Amino acid sequence: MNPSPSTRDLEQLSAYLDGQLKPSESARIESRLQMEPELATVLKELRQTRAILRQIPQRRAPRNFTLTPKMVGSKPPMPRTYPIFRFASALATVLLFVTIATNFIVPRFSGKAEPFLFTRNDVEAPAEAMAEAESMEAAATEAPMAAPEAMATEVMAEEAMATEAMALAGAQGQASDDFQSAQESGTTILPAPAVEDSTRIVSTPQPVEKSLFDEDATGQTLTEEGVPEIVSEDKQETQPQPKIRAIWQVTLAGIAFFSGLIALILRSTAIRKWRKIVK
Amino acid sequence: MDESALIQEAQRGNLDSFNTLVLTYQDRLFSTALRITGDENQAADATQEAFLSAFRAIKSFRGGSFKAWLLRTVTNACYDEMRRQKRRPTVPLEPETEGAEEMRSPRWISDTSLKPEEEAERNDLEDAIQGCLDALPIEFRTVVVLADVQSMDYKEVAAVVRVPLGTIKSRLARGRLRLRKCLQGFWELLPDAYRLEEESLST
Repeated sequence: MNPSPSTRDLEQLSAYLDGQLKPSESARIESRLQMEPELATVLKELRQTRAILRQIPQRRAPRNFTLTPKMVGSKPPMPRTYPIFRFASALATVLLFVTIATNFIVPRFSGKAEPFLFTRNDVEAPAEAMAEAESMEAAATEAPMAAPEAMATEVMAEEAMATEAMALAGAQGQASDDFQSAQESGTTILPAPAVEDSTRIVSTPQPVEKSLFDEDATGQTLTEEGVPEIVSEDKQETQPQPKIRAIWQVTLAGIAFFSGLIALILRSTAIRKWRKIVK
Repeated sequence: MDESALIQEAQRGNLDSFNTLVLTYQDRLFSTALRITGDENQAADATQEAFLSAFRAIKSFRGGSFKAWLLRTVTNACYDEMRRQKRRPTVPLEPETEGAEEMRSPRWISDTSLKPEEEAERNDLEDAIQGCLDALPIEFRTVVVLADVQSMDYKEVAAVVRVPLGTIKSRLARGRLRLRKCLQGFWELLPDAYRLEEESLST
């Protein structure tokens, strides 16, 4: 005969069997067990069932379940210095390209802007050139005649250069009127310099004759002392000064190369060791 | 090295430390998985998956019972494995005898300390209990396995299954009652001590 206790009684008996009831609940169940043999029977059955279940043998694992690096999909452990070398290589490479761009690309852009400035100044702004020439003339009259003897000898050369400048202006087909007017006023209009090339136009107060054609045929400027001064334009076009020295580029290239090489060696060594473990 | 130190090392990614924990708990986890799934292959797969998941998630372990944490992992792995098996049933790769009858007790689990007859009786009893466990609903079965087969207390079982304590009491009581009824069908296989006690009760 199988007694059929209520679900609550069954839960209470099962918990009582496992010692999971509060003392008051345990005392209540114990008193009921003495008075209700059906409950005692159920409790005994539950105890037997639990004992049988505890008889079931613990099975040993059929094999080891230890994990391998391959199973967990872990990446080979890299040395701590690896990211440092990798970052150094990347940074040096970027900086190297920046220096190359600074030295080669930027001057080219500025070189293209020069003819534009020349044309604009020469064609669109003759009035400005006239005004400038007038101001130079006024300054020249105010300036003392420092070397009248030298000036006498220079007049001949200046006349020759004036014809050269006229020919050049005629060949260019631009600003001939300006040139004429400038010649009449005793000044000349030289090709408009780049913004940074302020040395082309001698803006310091000089005698009129000296300020007209102060370049000789070789493109040199004669100073007051008669010492040839190299005009900056031709020199700048033929030998542009690099913004960043080559030594820095070589250093950066070296850092990029050797850091990359060291990082590559560290990585390949770590992978080789890791593969041995995985196998 | 004690368990907490091994856990901390494993949390830093030390696989060797974790494997030491695996060797400590693998029998318990496999045995639990076997009682829940009722199939050795599924149990092995679930155990392996549980350890793999445990390693990947060990950083989320915030103290408490590591055994309970692992058992929860293996219980979830068992549920996944059983669902997967239900969707795509496979032929088990059991070692077979010449008569195409499955060899029920492979060599690696045989207990050499027992006589052949005793081992046979034990295997029969194990089959009977496992058969009754398999007949239980999965939620009852898990609680019974954890509380009675693995001898865990209610709080630990509640932590593993993640249900309230009252639910654990209810499931365990009903599971035990159903098992009792089921085991009556395998009465002759029960050890003498239990059989005699039962006979004295019925008279």
